[in-house]
Amino acid sequence: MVAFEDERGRIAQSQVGDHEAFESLIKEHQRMIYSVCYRMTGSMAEAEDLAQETFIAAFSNLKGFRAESRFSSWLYRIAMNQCLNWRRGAARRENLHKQWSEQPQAHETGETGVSQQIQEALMKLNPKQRAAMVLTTYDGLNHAEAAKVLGCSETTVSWRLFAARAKLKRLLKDLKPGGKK
Amino acid sequence: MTDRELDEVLKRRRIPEPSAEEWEEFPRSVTREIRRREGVSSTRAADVAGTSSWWSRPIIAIAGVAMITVVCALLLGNRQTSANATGGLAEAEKYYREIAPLFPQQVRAIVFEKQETRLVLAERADVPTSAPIYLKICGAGECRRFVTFSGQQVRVNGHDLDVLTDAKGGVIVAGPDLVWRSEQRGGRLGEYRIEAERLEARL
Repeated sequence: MVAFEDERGRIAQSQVGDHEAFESLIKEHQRMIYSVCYRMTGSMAEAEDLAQETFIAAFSNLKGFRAESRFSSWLYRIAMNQCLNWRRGAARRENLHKQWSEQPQAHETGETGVSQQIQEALMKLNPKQRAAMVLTTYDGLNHAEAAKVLGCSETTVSWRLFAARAKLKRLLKDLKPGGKK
Repeated sequence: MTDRELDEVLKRRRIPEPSAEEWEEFPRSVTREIRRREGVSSTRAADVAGTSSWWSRPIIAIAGVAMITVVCALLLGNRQTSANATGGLAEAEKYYREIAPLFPQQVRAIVFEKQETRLVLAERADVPTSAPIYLKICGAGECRRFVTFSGQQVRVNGHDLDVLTDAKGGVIVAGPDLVWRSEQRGGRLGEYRIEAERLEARL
């Protein structure tokens, strides 16, 4: 309750332009937003840019934030919209493998290759299908909550998930659950 | 493959994370970008010292503080006490000419207070290049003088005032509820009496 009140206080300060208060809000939510953006783009650089755009958009729309909703959910919705509006350039597509090679490696566990394969499969989904997968599988939202974030009906979410799962199963059929390829 | 098995496979994906230093820097980079887009940068003292960013980089902090101290000490050694109107301007020009080349694109403001002169530096060399502005703001029984730039903020008696220039070269100082323009010389901004002059014509 105290943490909630503290957050409300910092939101109120940020609403009147206090950048320091807003920085502390960013610090609290940056990992969550970065994770969403990374899952949607598969690129650290794009995820960082989109996370930054998310917080900038949040700051400029902060006056419209209503106290009855949770700040994290509100931010989450902005991040997802940023990601859905994100347009990768041709060069970005061509550099996808290069970007992966620049990211932290985990040769000792052999998980990097698997992670890459999974990310590439996710990137082959239509962005709205990918968003539905990210929200439900990774962030644990139910269909109703995901529908709210995506601004569509629960039925639409269900269809998107159905199509996404079918495609992912086909693309990832060589991977076995439980850590073995 | 069942849905459950697919979920298990998907959750094997690891997310590469930025470094701890990048996480630390991220909130500030966001607010810097916000200010840049608003066209207003801040001269918060926190950007100069005392914030976690500085303490998180002790070597930079110590080096920075030491450098500022040396510069100020050297300059203060030459400083004449109490300046009248024209003397103040000449002194400001002298300080600016000596300090600006030492910290290219890092000087947010030089603040002349009653007893001391402070240098407000940006953490990085990202202050947009623009003509220096000399400002004298008097209120609550004391005057404070600044050399600063368009897009910066100066703090007087706990109030942050935005300093801007217009297309005609005039200076604008904006408070929370009021705006002062240099064409209204001798005019006031709330409780403050302000004088402003662009230094470029004199340098």
